[in-house]
Amino acid sequence: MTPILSLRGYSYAWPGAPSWTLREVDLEVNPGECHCLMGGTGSGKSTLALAVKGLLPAGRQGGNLLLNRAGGEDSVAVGLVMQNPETQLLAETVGAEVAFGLENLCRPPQEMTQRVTQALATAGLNLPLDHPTSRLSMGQKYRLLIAAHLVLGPALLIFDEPGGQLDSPGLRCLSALIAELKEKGLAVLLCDHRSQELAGVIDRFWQLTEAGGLAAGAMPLEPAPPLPGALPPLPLSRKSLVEVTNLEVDADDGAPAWAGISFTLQEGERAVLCADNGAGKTTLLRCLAGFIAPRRGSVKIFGDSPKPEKLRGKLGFLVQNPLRQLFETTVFDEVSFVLRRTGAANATLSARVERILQLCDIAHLARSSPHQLSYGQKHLVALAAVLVAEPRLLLLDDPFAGLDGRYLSRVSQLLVNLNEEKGTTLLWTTHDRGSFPSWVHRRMTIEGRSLVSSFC
Amino acid sequence: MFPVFAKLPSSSADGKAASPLLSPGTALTLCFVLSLAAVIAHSASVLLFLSLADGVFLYLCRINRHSLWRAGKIFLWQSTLVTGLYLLRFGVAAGLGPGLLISWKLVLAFTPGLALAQGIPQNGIEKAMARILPQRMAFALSMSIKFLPLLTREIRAVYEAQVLRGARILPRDLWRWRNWSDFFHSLIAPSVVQAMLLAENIAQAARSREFGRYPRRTIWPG
Repeated sequence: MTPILSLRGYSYAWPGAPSWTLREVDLEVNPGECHCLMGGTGSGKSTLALAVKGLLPAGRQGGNLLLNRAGGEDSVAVGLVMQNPETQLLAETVGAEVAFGLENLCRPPQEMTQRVTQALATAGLNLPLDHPTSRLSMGQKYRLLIAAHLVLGPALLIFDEPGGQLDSPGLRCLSALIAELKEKGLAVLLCDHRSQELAGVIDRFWQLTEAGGLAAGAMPLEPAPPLPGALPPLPLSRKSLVEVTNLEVDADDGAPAWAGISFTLQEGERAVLCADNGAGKTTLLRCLAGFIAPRRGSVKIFGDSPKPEKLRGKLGFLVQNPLRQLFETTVFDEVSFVLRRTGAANATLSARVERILQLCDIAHLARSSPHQLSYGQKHLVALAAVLVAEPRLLLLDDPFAGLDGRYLSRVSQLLVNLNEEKGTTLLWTTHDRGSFPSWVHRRMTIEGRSLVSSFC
Repeated sequence: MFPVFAKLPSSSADGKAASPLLSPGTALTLCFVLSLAAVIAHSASVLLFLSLADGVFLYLCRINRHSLWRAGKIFLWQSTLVTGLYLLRFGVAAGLGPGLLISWKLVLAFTPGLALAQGIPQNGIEKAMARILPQRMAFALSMSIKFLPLLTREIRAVYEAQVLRGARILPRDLWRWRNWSDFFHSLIAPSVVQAMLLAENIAQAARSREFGRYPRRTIWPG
């Protein structure tokens, strides 16, 4: 059988980078096969995906990358579904989105409707062609993107980190779709470090090493619970830190999925809220931090209505993709910013920053620029910059989606330590029902429009 | 509320935005003319006339009340800031009139763009622009309009995270000059980085679907 994709000793270094990101990679993918590339955060999975699609900038390259089928007049050799659907949806309606690639291939308009309809059916998205893309769920957006690539008739379809966006049911749907595509002879390359849900359709596992090489891999085991020791009981006598009563809000970017919810969080409690993307998790946290006023009901933080200016230093908020909050020129300055703004004395400031850097295992990076660190290290800096203030309440808005198990374990350990030492109350939100941390006292989900809470 | 706004739609029954009453080409032309007129206008009477014209334009673009309310809050904040700066620089007697006039002009200069971005379908704008601009430039401009809300959300997230990290960038903080360094340092700098990253991601997504393979593109008939 002639392979669709063949890499022989392929190496690549980004422009200006001193070391290779990919080094002497050998890989063959045949029609109807599904290969999974695993590797830690920042190991080069996305780089390899971009290389196969031909989207890498001209850096240093070595070896060969061969595609058995070149793109024709009306088709392409490789389709690449990247990580974030929000930045890949370029049109306003489902039909226009799928047709975007056909427009670029200069296909006649009379040919488009049939090809678009067929691609949508293959991707399992049965929606009118004029349905607005803004009203799709995350799972539907992902399917739409798959259709937008299938319409171009690729021989190889690459998925870059689907686990970063899809929850467990979404990944199971993707697994069924990949099985169908394989039956039709399409080759699939998955780049993901979280592949348990997709394991049934994967023919070969590969592991990207830290040096950039590719070695034979194996199906990853279920991640071990990151919490050392048993979960301490939550004393009932402690006072409530967060009190939410019959809360309803009007959010700028659409109404949340919930309404009239009530819950309390006690001092020192660790809670996780799990809900689909777009359900209103961020809206709830923004409301707790005082950035959105309730339309109905009430919120009390530390016994008072939340006001951002009064919560500085007391409430820590780690946003989705926390890398975007980094702005200083050194890690030390980044982490010490909150202490400088809350008026900490210089001696205290240095001691606290050094301690948190050590706890996060990034003390050796104190004089480095946060912008030149690896993806995982940047996350640790962002977390340290919030933890250094020793907030009494810490809101974590799904900030570690896409991080591999090694970093997730380290982050979990840090949060547990902070909670045990300082009594910090934690509220962590996640879109992934399969990744409930084992160290929480309480699990919350949104069922219908209500909040369902259960103690562990 | 301004009378014409009272009739503005919130959304149609099926959840889709109400259809605009102007073609994309006409809306684009009117947007350009109204914004340009607001920039070059000097007298209050011309600005009053332009305000009425903008009101009609908003109605014809079928802007919903929610979008209008959000824009109104931003315009109010912008006008307060601009007028405040005039008062600080020139004093109450000499600064109030010019400050209010400039604020009014800014609102009128941006309102047609808001109506265009919110009311007219993006592929319609792209098609209209492609008649007078190279297709790549038309695509880039229409994408800039489409992704403006996403960029705004990104900037808002950075703003809120920095406020809670202690940055003095709340509106009341900015009345003190020394806090403006926080504004540029902790908000503007990361926001510019985010804007560049967003542009790179969008460009990569477009190229992954063969945008740029040929100099011209055909058009989806839907």
